[in-house]
Amino acid sequence: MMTCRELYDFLDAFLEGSLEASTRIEFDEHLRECGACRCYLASYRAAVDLARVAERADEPATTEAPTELVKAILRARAATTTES
Amino acid sequence: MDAAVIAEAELLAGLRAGKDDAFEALVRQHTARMLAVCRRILRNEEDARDAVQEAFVSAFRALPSFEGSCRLGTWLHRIAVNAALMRLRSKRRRPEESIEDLLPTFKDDGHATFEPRDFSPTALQLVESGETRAFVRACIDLLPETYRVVLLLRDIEELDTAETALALDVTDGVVKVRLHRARQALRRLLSERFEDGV
Repeated sequence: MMTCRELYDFLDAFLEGSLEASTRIEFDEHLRECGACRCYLASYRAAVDLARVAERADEPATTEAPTELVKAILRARAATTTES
Repeated sequence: MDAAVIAEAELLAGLRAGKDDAFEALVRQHTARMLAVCRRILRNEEDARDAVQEAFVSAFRALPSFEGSCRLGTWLHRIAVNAALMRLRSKRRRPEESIEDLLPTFKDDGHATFEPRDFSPTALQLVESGETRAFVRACIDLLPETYRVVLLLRDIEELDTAETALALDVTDGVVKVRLHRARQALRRLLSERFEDGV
Protein backbone atom coordinates (compact mmCIF):
# COMPACT_ATOMS: atom_id res chain seq x y z
CA MET A 1 0.00 0.00 0.00
CA MET A 2 1.11 3.57 -0.72
CA THR A 3 2.74 5.30 2.27
CA CYS A 4 1.91 8.80 3.52
CA ARG A 5 5.25 10.03 2.16
CA GLU A 6 4.43 8.65 -1.29
CA LEU A 7 0.94 10.14 -1.18
CA TYR A 8 2.39 13.59 -0.42
CA ASP A 9 4.60 13.25 -3.52
CA PHE A 10 1.53 12.70 -5.69
CA LEU A 11 -0.56 15.61 -4.34
CA ASP A 12 0.00 17.99 -7.25
CA ALA A 13 -0.62 15.33 -9.87
CA PHE A 14 -3.81 14.41 -7.99
CA LEU A 15 -4.98 18.05 -7.89
CA GLU A 16 -4.23 18.40 -11.63
CA GLY A 17 -6.08 15.19 -12.37
CA SER A 18 -2.99 13.74 -14.04
CA LEU A 19 -2.40 10.66 -11.86
CA GLU A 20 -2.07 7.40 -13.78
CA ALA A 21 -5.04 5.09 -13.25
CA SER A 22 -3.14 2.49 -11.19
CA THR A 23 -1.57 5.18 -8.97
CA ARG A 24 -4.96 6.85 -8.55
CA ILE A 25 -6.42 3.60 -7.23
CA GLU A 26 -3.62 3.31 -4.64
CA PHE A 27 -3.96 7.01 -3.79
CA ASP A 28 -7.71 6.68 -3.18
CA GLU A 29 -7.21 3.49 -1.13
CA HIS A 30 -4.70 5.23 1.10
CA LEU A 31 -6.95 8.26 1.57
CA ARG A 32 -9.88 6.04 2.59
CA GLU A 33 -7.75 4.45 5.30
CA CYS A 34 -5.73 7.47 6.49
CA GLY A 35 -7.48 10.37 8.23
CA ALA A 36 -4.18 12.24 8.65
CA CYS A 37 -3.62 12.30 4.88
CA ARG A 38 -7.21 13.42 4.29
CA CYS A 39 -6.54 16.35 6.64
CA TYR A 40 -3.24 17.11 4.93
CA LEU A 41 -4.81 17.06 1.47
CA ALA A 42 -7.68 19.36 2.53
CA SER A 43 -5.33 21.88 4.16
CA TYR A 44 -2.84 21.67 1.24
CA ARG A 45 -5.64 22.48 -1.18
CA ALA A 46 -6.82 25.29 1.14
CA ALA A 47 -3.32 26.81 1.18
CA VAL A 48 -3.42 27.06 -2.64
CA ASP A 49 -6.92 28.61 -2.55
CA LEU A 50 -6.00 31.04 0.22
CA ALA A 51 -2.93 32.24 -1.67
CA ARG A 52 -5.06 32.90 -4.74
CA VAL A 53 -7.72 34.82 -2.80
CA ALA A 54 -5.20 36.80 -0.75
CA GLU A 55 -3.14 37.84 -3.77
CA ARG A 56 -6.07 38.79 -5.94
CA ALA A 57 -8.78 40.15 -3.67
CA ASP A 58 -7.07 43.40 -2.75
CA GLU A 59 -5.76 44.32 -6.17
CA PRO A 60 -7.14 47.61 -7.51
CA ALA A 61 -9.80 47.49 -10.21
CA THR A 62 -8.31 46.94 -13.64
CA THR A 63 -9.39 50.41 -14.74
CA GLU A 64 -7.36 52.15 -12.03
CA ALA A 65 -4.12 52.84 -13.89
CA PRO A 66 -2.06 55.56 -12.17
CA THR A 67 -2.21 58.61 -14.47
CA GLU A 68 1.44 59.53 -13.99
CA LEU A 69 2.53 56.00 -14.92
CA VAL A 70 0.39 56.04 -18.08
CA LYS A 71 1.94 59.38 -19.03
CA ALA A 72 5.47 58.09 -18.34
CA ILE A 73 4.87 55.05 -20.57
CA LEU A 74 3.53 57.20 -23.39
CA ARG A 75 6.51 59.55 -23.03
CA ALA A 76 8.84 56.54 -23.19
CA ARG A 77 7.11 55.43 -26.38
CA ALA A 78 7.45 58.89 -27.91
CA ALA A 79 11.18 58.85 -27.05
CA THR A 80 11.57 55.39 -28.60
CA THR A 81 9.75 56.51 -31.75
CA THR A 82 11.99 59.57 -32.03
CA GLU A 83 15.12 57.41 -31.60
CA SER A 84 14.06 55.08 -34.41
CA MET B 1 -17.62 37.66 -34.48
CA ASP B 2 -17.30 38.63 -30.80
CA ALA B 3 -17.33 42.43 -30.20
CA ALA B 4 -14.21 42.21 -28.03
CA VAL B 5 -12.35 40.34 -30.79
CA ILE B 6 -13.33 42.98 -33.34
CA ALA B 7 -12.28 45.79 -30.97
CA GLU B 8 -8.92 44.09 -30.42
CA ALA B 9 -8.39 43.59 -34.16
CA GLU B 10 -9.08 47.31 -34.70
CA LEU B 11 -6.72 48.23 -31.87
CA LEU B 12 -4.02 46.01 -33.33
CA ALA B 13 -4.47 47.57 -36.77
CA GLY B 14 -4.09 51.02 -35.16
CA LEU B 15 -0.94 49.92 -33.33
CA ARG B 16 0.58 48.50 -36.50
CA ALA B 17 -0.19 51.75 -38.31
CA GLY B 18 1.63 53.62 -35.51
CA LYS B 19 -1.43 55.61 -34.42
CA ASP B 20 -0.90 57.50 -31.15
CA ASP B 21 -4.47 57.01 -29.96
CA ALA B 22 -4.14 53.23 -30.38
CA PHE B 23 -1.02 53.19 -28.21
CA GLU B 24 -2.72 55.34 -25.59
CA ALA B 25 -5.74 53.02 -25.58
CA LEU B 26 -3.48 49.98 -25.17
CA VAL B 27 -1.62 51.55 -22.26
CA ARG B 28 -4.80 52.75 -20.52
CA GLN B 29 -6.44 49.36 -20.98
CA HIS B 30 -3.62 47.17 -19.67
CA THR B 31 -1.49 49.18 -17.25
CA ALA B 32 -3.48 48.42 -14.09
CA ARG B 33 -3.42 44.66 -14.62
CA MET B 34 0.28 44.64 -15.52
CA LEU B 35 1.02 46.75 -12.45
CA ALA B 36 -0.82 44.26 -10.24
CA VAL B 37 1.33 41.43 -11.66
CA CYS B 38 4.57 43.36 -11.13
CA ARG B 39 3.55 44.38 -7.59
CA ARG B 40 2.96 40.74 -6.68
CA ILE B 41 6.35 39.66 -7.97
CA LEU B 42 8.41 42.64 -6.78
CA ARG B 43 6.51 43.68 -3.61
CA ASN B 44 7.73 47.24 -4.14
CA GLU B 45 5.69 50.00 -5.75
CA GLU B 46 8.54 51.88 -7.38
CA ASP B 47 10.10 48.74 -8.83
CA ALA B 48 6.70 47.55 -10.03
CA ARG B 49 6.04 50.80 -11.89
CA ASP B 50 9.51 50.73 -13.45
CA ALA B 51 8.94 47.12 -14.54
CA VAL B 52 5.59 48.01 -16.16
CA GLN B 53 7.24 50.83 -18.07
CA GLU B 54 10.05 48.51 -19.19
CA ALA B 55 7.46 45.91 -20.19
CA PHE B 56 5.59 48.38 -22.39
CA VAL B 57 8.81 49.57 -24.04
CA SER B 58 9.66 45.90 -24.80
CA ALA B 59 6.14 45.34 -26.09
CA PHE B 60 6.26 48.38 -28.38
CA ARG B 61 9.53 47.10 -29.84
CA ALA B 62 8.19 43.56 -30.24
CA LEU B 63 4.85 44.61 -31.72
CA PRO B 64 5.87 44.02 -35.36
CA SER B 65 6.55 40.36 -34.48
CA PHE B 66 3.28 39.88 -32.54
CA GLU B 67 1.47 37.21 -34.52
CA GLY B 68 -1.91 37.47 -32.84
CA SER B 69 -1.87 33.82 -31.76
CA CYS B 70 -3.06 34.94 -28.31
CA ARG B 71 -4.92 37.97 -26.95
CA LEU B 72 -2.96 41.19 -26.54
CA GLY B 73 -3.66 41.06 -22.78
CA THR B 74 -2.12 37.58 -22.51
CA TRP B 75 0.91 38.67 -24.51
CA LEU B 76 1.40 41.78 -22.36
CA HIS B 77 0.93 39.73 -19.19
CA ARG B 78 3.85 37.47 -20.17
CA ILE B 79 6.00 40.47 -21.04
CA ALA B 80 5.17 42.07 -17.65
CA VAL B 81 6.09 38.83 -15.84
CA ASN B 82 9.43 38.74 -17.66
CA ALA B 83 10.15 42.41 -16.94
CA ALA B 84 9.38 41.90 -13.24
CA LEU B 85 11.55 38.77 -13.07
CA MET B 86 14.43 40.56 -14.76
CA ARG B 87 14.19 43.38 -12.23
CA LEU B 88 13.96 40.87 -9.38
CA ARG B 89 17.14 39.12 -10.57
CA SER B 90 19.00 42.42 -10.78
CA LYS B 91 18.08 43.22 -7.17
CA ARG B 92 18.82 39.82 -5.65
CA ARG B 93 21.70 40.22 -3.25
CA ARG B 94 21.45 37.87 -0.30
CA PRO B 95 21.99 34.12 -0.61
CA GLU B 96 18.68 32.33 -0.37
CA GLU B 97 17.69 30.61 2.86
CA SER B 98 16.73 26.93 2.84
CA ILE B 99 13.12 25.78 2.64
CA GLU B 100 13.86 22.43 4.34
CA ASP B 101 12.67 23.51 7.79
CA LEU B 102 9.20 24.19 6.41
CA LEU B 103 8.77 20.83 4.66
CA PRO B 104 6.99 17.81 6.15
CA THR B 105 9.16 15.11 7.67
CA PHE B 106 8.52 11.37 7.81
CA LYS B 107 9.34 8.37 9.97
CA ASP B 108 11.13 5.34 8.52
CA ASP B 109 7.75 3.64 7.91
CA GLY B 110 6.62 6.54 5.69
CA HIS B 111 4.18 8.09 8.19
CA ALA B 112 4.37 11.84 8.82
CA THR B 113 6.13 12.86 12.03
CA PHE B 114 3.31 15.30 12.79
CA GLU B 115 -0.48 15.11 13.05
CA PRO B 116 -1.89 17.33 10.28
CA ARG B 117 -5.17 19.07 10.92
CA ASP B 118 -7.66 20.26 8.34
CA PHE B 119 -7.77 24.02 8.85
CA SER B 120 -9.62 24.70 5.60
CA PRO B 121 -13.08 25.54 7.06
CA THR B 122 -11.65 28.09 9.54
CA ALA B 123 -9.19 29.57 7.05
CA LEU B 124 -11.63 29.93 4.17
CA GLN B 125 -14.01 31.76 6.50
CA LEU B 126 -11.31 34.03 7.95
CA VAL B 127 -9.94 34.98 4.53
CA GLU B 128 -13.00 37.20 4.11
CA SER B 129 -11.15 39.73 6.28
CA GLY B 130 -8.43 41.99 4.88
CA GLU B 131 -6.26 41.34 7.92
CA THR B 132 -6.25 37.59 7.20
CA ARG B 133 -5.45 38.16 3.54
CA ALA B 134 -2.52 40.35 4.58
CA PHE B 135 -1.35 37.53 6.87
CA VAL B 136 -1.51 35.03 3.99
CA ARG B 137 0.51 37.40 1.78
CA ALA B 138 3.04 37.80 4.62
CA CYS B 139 3.36 34.00 4.76
CA ILE B 140 3.96 33.88 0.99
CA ASP B 141 6.68 36.50 1.47
CA LEU B 142 8.38 34.24 4.02
CA LEU B 143 9.02 31.62 1.34
CA PRO B 144 12.54 31.61 -0.10
CA GLU B 145 12.39 33.68 -3.26
CA THR B 146 12.86 30.96 -5.88
CA TYR B 147 9.89 29.12 -4.34
CA ARG B 148 7.75 32.23 -3.83
CA VAL B 149 8.17 33.16 -7.49
CA VAL B 150 7.16 29.71 -8.75
CA LEU B 151 4.08 29.74 -6.49
CA LEU B 152 3.10 33.17 -7.83
CA LEU B 153 3.65 32.27 -11.47
CA ARG B 154 1.84 28.92 -11.29
CA ASP B 155 -0.94 29.49 -8.76
CA ILE B 156 -1.67 33.20 -9.05
CA GLU B 157 -0.61 34.24 -12.56
CA GLU B 158 -1.71 30.84 -13.87
CA LEU B 159 1.22 30.23 -16.19
CA ASP B 160 1.53 26.54 -17.00
CA THR B 161 4.59 24.49 -16.09
CA ALA B 162 6.30 25.00 -19.46
CA GLU B 163 5.66 28.77 -19.49
CA THR B 164 7.01 29.07 -15.94
CA ALA B 165 10.08 27.01 -16.83
CA LEU B 166 10.75 29.24 -19.83
CA ALA B 167 10.32 32.46 -17.83
CA LEU B 168 12.71 31.22 -15.12
CA ASP B 169 15.13 29.41 -17.46
CA VAL B 170 14.81 26.12 -15.58
CA THR B 171 13.44 22.70 -16.52
CA ASP B 172 9.81 21.61 -16.15
CA GLY B 173 10.93 19.19 -13.44
CA VAL B 174 12.48 21.98 -11.38
CA VAL B 175 9.24 23.98 -11.61
CA LYS B 176 7.21 20.98 -10.41
CA VAL B 177 9.51 20.30 -7.45
CA ARG B 178 9.63 23.96 -6.43
CA LEU B 179 5.85 24.34 -6.68
CA HIS B 180 5.23 21.30 -4.52
CA ARG B 181 7.72 22.47 -1.90
CA ALA B 182 6.35 26.02 -1.96
CA ARG B 183 2.80 24.78 -1.41
CA GLN B 184 3.90 22.46 1.40
CA ALA B 185 5.87 25.26 3.09
CA LEU B 186 2.98 27.71 2.73
CA ARG B 187 0.60 25.16 4.19
CA ARG B 188 2.94 24.76 7.15
CA LEU B 189 3.20 28.52 7.73
CA LEU B 190 -0.58 28.94 7.52
CA SER B 191 -1.22 25.98 9.80
CA GLU B 192 0.64 27.67 12.65
CA ARG B 193 -2.17 30.22 12.81
CA PHE B 194 -5.24 28.53 11.40
CA GLU B 195 -4.98 25.22 13.23
CA ASP B 196 -5.67 27.11 16.44
CA GLY B 197 -8.72 28.69 14.81
CA VAL B 198 -7.33 32.19 15.51
